[in-house]
Amino acid sequence: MTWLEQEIARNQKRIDKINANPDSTKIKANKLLYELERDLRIAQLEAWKTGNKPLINSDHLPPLVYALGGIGIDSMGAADRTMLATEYFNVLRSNNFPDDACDRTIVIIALCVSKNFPPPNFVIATSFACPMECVSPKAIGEYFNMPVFHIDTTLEITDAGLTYVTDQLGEMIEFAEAKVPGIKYSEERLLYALEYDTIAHNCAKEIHKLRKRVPCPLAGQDAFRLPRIPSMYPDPKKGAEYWKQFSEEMQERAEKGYGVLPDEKLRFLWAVTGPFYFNPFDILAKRGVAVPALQFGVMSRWFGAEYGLFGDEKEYGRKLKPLEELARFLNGNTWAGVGHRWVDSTVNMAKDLKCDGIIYFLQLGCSASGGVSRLVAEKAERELGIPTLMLEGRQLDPFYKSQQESEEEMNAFIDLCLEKKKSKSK
Amino acid sequence: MHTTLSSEKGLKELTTLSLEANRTKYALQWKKDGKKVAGLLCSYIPEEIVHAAGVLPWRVFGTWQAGTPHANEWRPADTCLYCNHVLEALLTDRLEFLDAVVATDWDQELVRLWDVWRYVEKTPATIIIDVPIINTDTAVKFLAQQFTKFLGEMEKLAGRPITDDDLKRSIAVLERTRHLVKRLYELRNTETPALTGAEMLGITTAAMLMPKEEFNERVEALLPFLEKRRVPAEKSRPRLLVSSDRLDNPGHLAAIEETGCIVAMDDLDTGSRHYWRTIEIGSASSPVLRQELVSALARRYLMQPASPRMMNWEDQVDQVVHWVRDYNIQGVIELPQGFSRYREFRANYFKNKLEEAGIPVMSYRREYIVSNVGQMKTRVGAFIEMIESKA
Ligand code: SF4
Repeated sequence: MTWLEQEIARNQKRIDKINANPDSTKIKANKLLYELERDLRIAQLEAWKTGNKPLINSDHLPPLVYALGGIGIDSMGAADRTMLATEYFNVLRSNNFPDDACDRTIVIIALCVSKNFPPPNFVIATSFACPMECVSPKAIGEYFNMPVFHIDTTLEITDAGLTYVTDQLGEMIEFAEAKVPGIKYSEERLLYALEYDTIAHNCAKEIHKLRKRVPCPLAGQDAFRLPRIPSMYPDPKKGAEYWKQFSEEMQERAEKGYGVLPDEKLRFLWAVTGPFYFNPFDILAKRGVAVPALQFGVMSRWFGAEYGLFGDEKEYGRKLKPLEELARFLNGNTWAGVGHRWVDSTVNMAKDLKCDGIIYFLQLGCSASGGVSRLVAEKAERELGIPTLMLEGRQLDPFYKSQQESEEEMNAFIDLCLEKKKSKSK
Repeated sequence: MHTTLSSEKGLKELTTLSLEANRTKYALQWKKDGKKVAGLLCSYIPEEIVHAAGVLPWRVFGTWQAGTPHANEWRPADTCLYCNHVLEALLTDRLEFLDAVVATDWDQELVRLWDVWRYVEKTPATIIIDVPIINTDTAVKFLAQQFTKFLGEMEKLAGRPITDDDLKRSIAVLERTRHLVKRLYELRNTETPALTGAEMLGITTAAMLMPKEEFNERVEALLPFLEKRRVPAEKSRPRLLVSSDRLDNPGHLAAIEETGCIVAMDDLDTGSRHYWRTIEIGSASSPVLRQELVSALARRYLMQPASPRMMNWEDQVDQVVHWVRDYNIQGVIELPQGFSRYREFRANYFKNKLEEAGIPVMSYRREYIVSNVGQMKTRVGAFIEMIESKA
């Protein structure tokens, strides 16, 4: 069974379980989510097996992939869902690929090379977050001899940068139409995709308002559950429907004053990424620590904490055209920029969400976040008086660091923050 | 004066300039003369603009000492070793004479080094240039905008405007440097080369650490001597090419050559890649506008033989294949520096394409400093044996 077939089966099992035995304590929107995930995998599998539509990697540009008439391949997103990556490191070593880079960016190469996951028929390699997110799909494209188009994003947010990236998007469309059978750009489809992505974005902004509430109505797992942008799915309308349902349920919980934790003692901002091979929120929840948000490169923007996306007119002082909206998104990832963009947005987020501490996951090989970790910690301490735990780890590799070791570090950090909070309130 | 320069002694003065004890010599003298020094962290920074401002463009190399305890307090250890060693040099006050530091986004590791540099405020000016990873016309246009901005920053640092004539003069000086260095490369393209690979790297890095005019003068004086000089025949085979980035220590190449070969050509951003491409400016008869000068610079820097940070992998391999054929090379040694991700992700492609072209290739992950020499020599020795058995 390929990885896609396993995913289809897994999601179907979840749906069947909900149908057979609905659990009123769980989020009801989950069912819709599992259906969307299953349908995405079915569409990917079909395109892979039959070639009915071109597969295009779409981690960074789902609406454009939709507008080009392709089926999106979520390269890094799929790697995230492997949970355990150990077996893939050997595949990488034997093919002369690095095995100690950020694991989500290399595991996907191994998934494709071992024929477990479809390589895209057309690769869009963008420097959206970090060099690895650009060269990983590129390496896959070159390995399978598929056309690759590169999009260069900018360090700072400027008008010139917006024009630069928009121009490249135009060139990419021309390239794709000329090189990839089955690709035809339709602005109508782009507008359709953006319409539903905007609905999701607005829901995300509403959810973000809830994150600020004390007690926090979102569980730590929910903070980590970042639903996909609707245009990633074959049916964006259904994707937006899920966002609406999810957001409404969160509102309902908040209105009922339903905090996820019976007694919220502390609030932590979780930054960068986390270990996917165990659930770090259990230990936090047990000790009364809420995690209102996961902070990463596009978080502030996607949740409207800083400038928004899709329709925001403040940032550039005007309404943007559809391709410009995509360029804004590509340049808007604070990770890919100069460090203070990420440092400032992280500390602002911690402030906004009234956090008592930051857990900063030092993901092995993450050049975006590792080199400025101390800058975040110093600024948070200086401006907010809150400490930061540098939790070293690897997203998909349990042998790099054990669950027990991570939990010990988190427990010690909770003690420190409780102590600090107590002395502040005196 | 020229007789001293045109000798083994004159050569040695150049080839040893990058040693930690020597490398600040010219920069400190420049400061003593009341002028400013800008530390450059990458080969995509237009030295011409720095030069035109009357500021010394001085390439920053890291400390060649083993540990980086101070840098490790700022950066995880599993990050670019060059950046860690540079930061160590900064934090231990070895770079305090710099008036400015200029970085690019060569990779994100370098941006993060710049972020820390800016944060610790040890250098009056910290500048970063956003260099595209592609080399289309759109990218050249964007880079020209970045260079124009950089020109303004250099004017601020110099406290005076840079005129078009300043810029043209500086372009001419730098072009002369490139011409001379390429002449030295030609002297290596013979059965018994004039210089070893380690010596050549000593010279190419020396040019980055001294005023260009003086470098040009010294190399012009050295040329008659070098034209007659020959590496002993027994040390002239097999002929290898080394490919790496931020390799500034000739000791790496010396260790390879000690196994019984010669590094007759390189694919280094501290070597050939930095000097290969010249600048094309309009037609000789019509006056050249500033914008054209800046655009020509942008084109030159984006079109130079590329580092793996650029996305034109095919051109990069073609360039190496071309050098292999042109310099009669028998094998390629790739020396990825640990945690240099662009090169590591390109490794599979690079190896496969070279092998498809019938070129033997090996890869050895190196440290920034020269270490584990024994292990490297064993690997290189086996590679040489393999090449020779096929010959
Ligand atoms: S975790 Fe860091 S290195 Fe990995 S993909 Fe994200 S930004 Fe890139």
